[in-house]
Amino acid sequence: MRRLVVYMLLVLFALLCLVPIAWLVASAFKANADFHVYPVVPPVDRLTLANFTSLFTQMPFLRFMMNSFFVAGATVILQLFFSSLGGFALAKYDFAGKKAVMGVMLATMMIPGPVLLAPMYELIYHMGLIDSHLGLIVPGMVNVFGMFLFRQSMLSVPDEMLQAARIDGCNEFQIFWHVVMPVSRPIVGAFCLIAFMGTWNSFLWPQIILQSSDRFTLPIGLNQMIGVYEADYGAMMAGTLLAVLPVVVLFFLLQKEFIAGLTKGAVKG
Amino acid sequence: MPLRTARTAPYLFLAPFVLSFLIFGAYPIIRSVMLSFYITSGPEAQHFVGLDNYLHLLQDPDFWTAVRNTATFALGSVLLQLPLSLGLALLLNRADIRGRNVFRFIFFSPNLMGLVFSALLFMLILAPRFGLLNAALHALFGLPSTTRWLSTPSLVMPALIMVALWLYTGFNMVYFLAALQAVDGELYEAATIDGAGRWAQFWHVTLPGIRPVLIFVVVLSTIGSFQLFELAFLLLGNSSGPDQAGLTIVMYLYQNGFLGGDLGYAAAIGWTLALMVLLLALVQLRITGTGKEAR
Amino acid sequence: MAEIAFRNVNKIYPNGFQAVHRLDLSIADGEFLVMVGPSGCGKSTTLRMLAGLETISSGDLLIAGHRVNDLHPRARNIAMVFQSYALYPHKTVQGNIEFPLRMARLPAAEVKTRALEVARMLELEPLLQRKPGLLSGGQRQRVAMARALVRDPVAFLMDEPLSNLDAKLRVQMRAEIAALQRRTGTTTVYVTHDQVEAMTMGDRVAVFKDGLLQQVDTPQQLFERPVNTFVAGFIGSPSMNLITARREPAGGGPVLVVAGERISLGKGMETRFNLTDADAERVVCLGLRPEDVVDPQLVGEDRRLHGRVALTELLGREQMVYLDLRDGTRLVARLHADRRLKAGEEIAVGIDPARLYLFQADGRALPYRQG
Repeated sequence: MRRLVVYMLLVLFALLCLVPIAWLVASAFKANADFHVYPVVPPVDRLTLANFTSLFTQMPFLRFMMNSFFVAGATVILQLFFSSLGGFALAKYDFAGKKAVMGVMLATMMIPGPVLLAPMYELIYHMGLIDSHLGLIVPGMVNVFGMFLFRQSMLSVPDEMLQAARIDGCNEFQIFWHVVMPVSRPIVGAFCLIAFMGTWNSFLWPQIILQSSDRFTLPIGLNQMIGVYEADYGAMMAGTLLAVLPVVVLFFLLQKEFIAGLTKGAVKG
Repeated sequence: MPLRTARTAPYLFLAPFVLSFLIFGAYPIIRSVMLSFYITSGPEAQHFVGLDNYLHLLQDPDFWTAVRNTATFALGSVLLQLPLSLGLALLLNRADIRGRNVFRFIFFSPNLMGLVFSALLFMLILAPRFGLLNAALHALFGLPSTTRWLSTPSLVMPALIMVALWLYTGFNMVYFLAALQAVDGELYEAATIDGAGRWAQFWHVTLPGIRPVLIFVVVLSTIGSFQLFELAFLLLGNSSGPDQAGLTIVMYLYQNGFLGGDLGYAAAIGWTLALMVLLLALVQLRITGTGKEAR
Repeated sequence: MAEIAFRNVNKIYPNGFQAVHRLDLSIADGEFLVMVGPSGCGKSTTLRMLAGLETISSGDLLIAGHRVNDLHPRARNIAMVFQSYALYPHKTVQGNIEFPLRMARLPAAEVKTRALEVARMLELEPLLQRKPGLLSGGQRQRVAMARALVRDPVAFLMDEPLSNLDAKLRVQMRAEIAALQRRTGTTTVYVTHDQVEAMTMGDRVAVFKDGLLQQVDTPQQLFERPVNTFVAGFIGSPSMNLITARREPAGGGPVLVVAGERISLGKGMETRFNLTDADAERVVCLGLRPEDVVDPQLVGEDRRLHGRVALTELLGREQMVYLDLRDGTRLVARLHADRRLKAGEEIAVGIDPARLYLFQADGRALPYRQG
């Protein structure tokens, strides 16, 4: 009996979570005229692909998507390389200044991001990177959280394995590349997903930096479309649906690693 | 593992990260402090004013509106989200529940939408007349379908809190569930043998067991809520809403710094925000910290 | 050709702890040298210095006549088997075996041939495509061996490679490793804390204690002519009895006073020692292996000790008898099991001077007789 109540509560909340998403999917296939007629779901025979067609033929949606992929891809790869290599050094070597480096990084993690907006804008302005994708990618290279994530995870790689690699003829970088990174595959997966979601959904910084519409990423572009193509709700929902898809796909590929990575950070505080 | 031939390696490995960190992490922090002592007009024209930015900020009614709105949002979302997240996690953690992973995924799925795209979706869901929310309220409870959620000042914050609730409850639940699953099952058995009922078990086994994660989530949610921007900015059509009802601290920073061009004032707003967040986190840690000592 | 030599090598850690003191040790080409000692004795540190995994604080390490102190491990061309095996969990067995060859940038075809050859030798062929996580302890051990054998190194280093195996497998692998080493003829340095492993496997055995090399010798020499009480007590199982003794000069020849009783050494010619009067004067300790305690009927009245049985342990055909001698000193004897002894019973045991060990105050053995 009590179990039934529990299930009902769980199902109720599951519905609350899913209904807006279902509505998004339905709306993406809804003709604009039908929004007022069928607020929930129109009959199946009234569903249309017109929204998607207009996204790609009349609006620069494809360009936004390509821009987003480029910026997110480049940022994730750079972050991955810098953070994992730095995390490896901090996890597996003793060297002078190590404590200082970690202390400074931890301290800066406490500072909320918006503090950096003004000086960062100034810096990017002087580097001549306003209204460019580099202006998004370059400041995004540094991911202190990611570096600590890698350090935490690489601490558990046994020293003997690194020594074996040394004996087997690896130089120090080859140890990282051939042994430590492959062994850290789960955390690499989790990191890639977290970093990708962060960049893919980034709004404020691109909103500040980007000016030309042909450089817009998806969040900026879709937001702008609302102003330009007013009342084209169907296209907007279709665009939102397509914009979310890459994250969902990546999540399904990496979900096991992702949950583990998320909660690993939590337990360590 | 000290090894002379490997001594330079860690420095080389850390170099790219530290170098970019110095340029894009450390330098902006220092520069931000300096900027907050200047009035600027874009990145070129600057004029030193000392602490004037901060003094002005304290008397700026718009800033206090932003602080009030942001605090309302933070309080509302933390107080609603976290108990709900914990409740769901407790339900899911029951031994007799099947399909735990499916439920966990469903609860987590709004988070996959991301903040920006959720805001775009909810713009339409909250729309009067054809929006899903009004349609549902009309169908279920006979309420009027014309409620203008995003253009009625008193409804703006409830609407934002509601969207945040949808977005983050499942996310926090994942943390709580992981923490609950890490509590040693034998503790419950021992507590049962010691005669503890369900409530006693919750207070004496569950809560102490998940305490670190609980504090972590509370502090992080508060810090995150205080940086509210995208949700309000997008839902309110790139504005601060009716009667500034959706003006947040970061939005005010954005308006002053990047629409108005005063980077100095923006930096001052940023540091004031940082200070508030730090104080709040310290207060939260103190409260939870002393709670532990008393026990 | 690939002789290894430590010349006055010291290892001092940053915290001031000196793990190895003034080590002088040469290992001949093709030799199987076992380094043995209790934990913390410096044997592993020595091996790791040889591998290049630890720096050398002072002194020289020579391989084939070249000083290699500052060479990265990859430049030393040595292979090593670790206690934890340290297999790469993301690579298959074949990937693990091939890895050192790939790092040496050998042609792909040769990498494959050599890996398969070694896999066949160690009977790993059916497992080549498995990941280490799916292997048993013994199989992992073989893969670690294969990864070392596949190279053509100047030396194999093994750091307690059998300590994670169960007793039966350990005995089997012991023999296999020794046989493999004889087959390949590669210089091998093997670290263990188990003296049985040391005695059964090594051409020579180096005994360490507290960072100091005590003695390097063939197993037989170690057993028969230990240089001090530590080596004497460490080598051999069960351990040698070490009992306080004192020499009493008497007319008939050297006599030892042990636990209040007198043991005659005759003229001293029966012992393995060169007993000039001056040396015998310095005796403070008598060593006697439990299995060397003899039937009192076989020796004269003047070569017997008496004691009360405290405890007996039956080991099938034999029994371990724990005796409390007249002054309370404990003596362990390995006797035939045909005589059932009860706790509290008074018995006599016989001492054969030819089987005695004699030590001086500083723990060193008396000079052994030549030949």
